Amino acid sequence: MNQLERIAAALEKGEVETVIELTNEALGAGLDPGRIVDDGLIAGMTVVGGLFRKHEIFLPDVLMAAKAMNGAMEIVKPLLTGGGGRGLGRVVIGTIEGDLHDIGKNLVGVMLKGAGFDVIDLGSDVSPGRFVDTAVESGASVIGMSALLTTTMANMEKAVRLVKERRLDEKIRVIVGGAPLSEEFAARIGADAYGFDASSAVERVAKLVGEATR
Amino acid sequence: MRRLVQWEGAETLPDRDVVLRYQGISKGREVPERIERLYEEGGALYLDAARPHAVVETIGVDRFAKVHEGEGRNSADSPLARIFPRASRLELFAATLGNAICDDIARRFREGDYATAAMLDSFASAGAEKMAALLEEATEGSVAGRNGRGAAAAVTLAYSPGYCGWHVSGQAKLFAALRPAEAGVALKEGSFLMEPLKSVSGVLVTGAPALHRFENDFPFCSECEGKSCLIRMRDIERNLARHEPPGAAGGER
Ligand code: B1M
Repeated sequence: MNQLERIAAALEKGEVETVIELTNEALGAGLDPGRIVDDGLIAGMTVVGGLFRKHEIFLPDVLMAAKAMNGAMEIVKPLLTGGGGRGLGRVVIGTIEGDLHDIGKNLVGVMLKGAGFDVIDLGSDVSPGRFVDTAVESGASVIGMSALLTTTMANMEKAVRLVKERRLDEKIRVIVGGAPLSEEFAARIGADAYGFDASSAVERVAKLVGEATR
Repeated sequence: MRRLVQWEGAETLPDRDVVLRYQGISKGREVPERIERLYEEGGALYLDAARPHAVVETIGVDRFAKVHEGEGRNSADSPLARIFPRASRLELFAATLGNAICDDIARRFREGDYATAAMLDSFASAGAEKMAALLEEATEGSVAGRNGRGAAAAVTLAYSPGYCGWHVSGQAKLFAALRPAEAGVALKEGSFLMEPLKSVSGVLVTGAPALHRFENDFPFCSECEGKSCLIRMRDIERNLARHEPPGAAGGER
């Protein structure tokens, strides 16, 4: 097994310390930080995501792997070309105004970070204006909104409208998710995508980032 | 009558199956050692941070009818609308695990300690539900003063705004009537949700076991994923079967 495969394997087992140790070793050996991320960390996380989707591992396994991924990213991030980010894209997430249910949103955030996205989590009860302002200020290309209450779903539409009114819809894409939502609802309010679960959210966000022009 | 209830964290410690279900692990599946350790850690953190308490107040049928009306957004027909007018006792309640546990969960998520944060979150969600179950048991016990749930003439069940046709906006009137601030629960401004997050609210309905029976064929039932009504009704049946001669409890189907 080469160094990158060992990183991926340790990450799959959620071995935080080992992943960090191996990442430091790889950097010490002169490996390219970008390759460590792509062929070590993200490769491992992709396997984890696949196993979770097939119900072969449990949610805590994914979360432990995500923790290991983040630990290693902290070390690698400053060394990547351009300093701050991996270039995968920045996403602003939160639970929509009037709603406090945040478990699903937290999981989506963890998975996005695990996949290498730069995530700004605004927490819960976030107004449409705050979503849009934060996306503009931070240069994010995706806004991800979560809702668990039927009463608060309408506020998502306001945020989508705001993006369009401010003519930001080419630059900022919107994904929505949460138990009471559906593909049809997302289409009806004019959102660009719907995430059924955290894994599908990652796939869809990756596509949206590609679509958004900056 | 109004009462403040305070529990030890351990009294509200939720059942293992419920916590694991929130983690996506169904009953009967083998739990790997690393997740066992996480489960133990989550339980210990729960005991440390949970400050479970509740406020409960008796309310008359007529006054409750006004509370139940809420903002006029309930479904045209619902189980509770049929049930409450015939209850022998109605009590509004709000119960919370307090801020500390919510802060702990949020901090752990922020700091990247995801697995522990999510496990503690599952303990807390299940713990919040357990408080409602404890309130049901306490009222039922005090009404009947007898041996075992559902065994006697009275069964108490909690019904909550946001469930089964009682619109979540019903929280506003419920909170105006109950004023549960002294238990540390409040509605977030401009929202129908409570702070702290790990809180539950509703009405405790006490009456004959048959009072709580209904067919789950209301228009909103098809969208319901939980179907907890079926489990509640099944539990009543089981208890009745254990404690009463066959045919003693007539239903209303
Ligand atoms: C950006 O892109 C994306 C993409 C994908 C996205 C996404 C964003 N966001 C989510 N996803 C997707 O990916 C995630 C991972 O797979 C998924 O996220 P989810 O959030 O769906 O899934 C989570 C991983 C697990 N699921 C959850 O965490 C929610 C589960 C259910 C059972 C639930 C729970 C756990 C709780 N609750 Co609450 N609760 C319910 C929920 C019923 C349900 N079936 O959803 C719901 C949401 N609750 C409800 C209610 C009414 C309430 N709850 C309350 C309380 C609670 C608990 C404390 C017991 C507990 C904790 C809540 C918390 N957030 O901490 C009360 C309010 C609490 C408060 N503070 O005010 C109370 C008001 C009840 C009361 N009167 O006491 C209902 C809302 C009904 C409505 N009208 O809208 C409800 C649907 C239950 C029901 N009736 O069936 C996907 O949806």
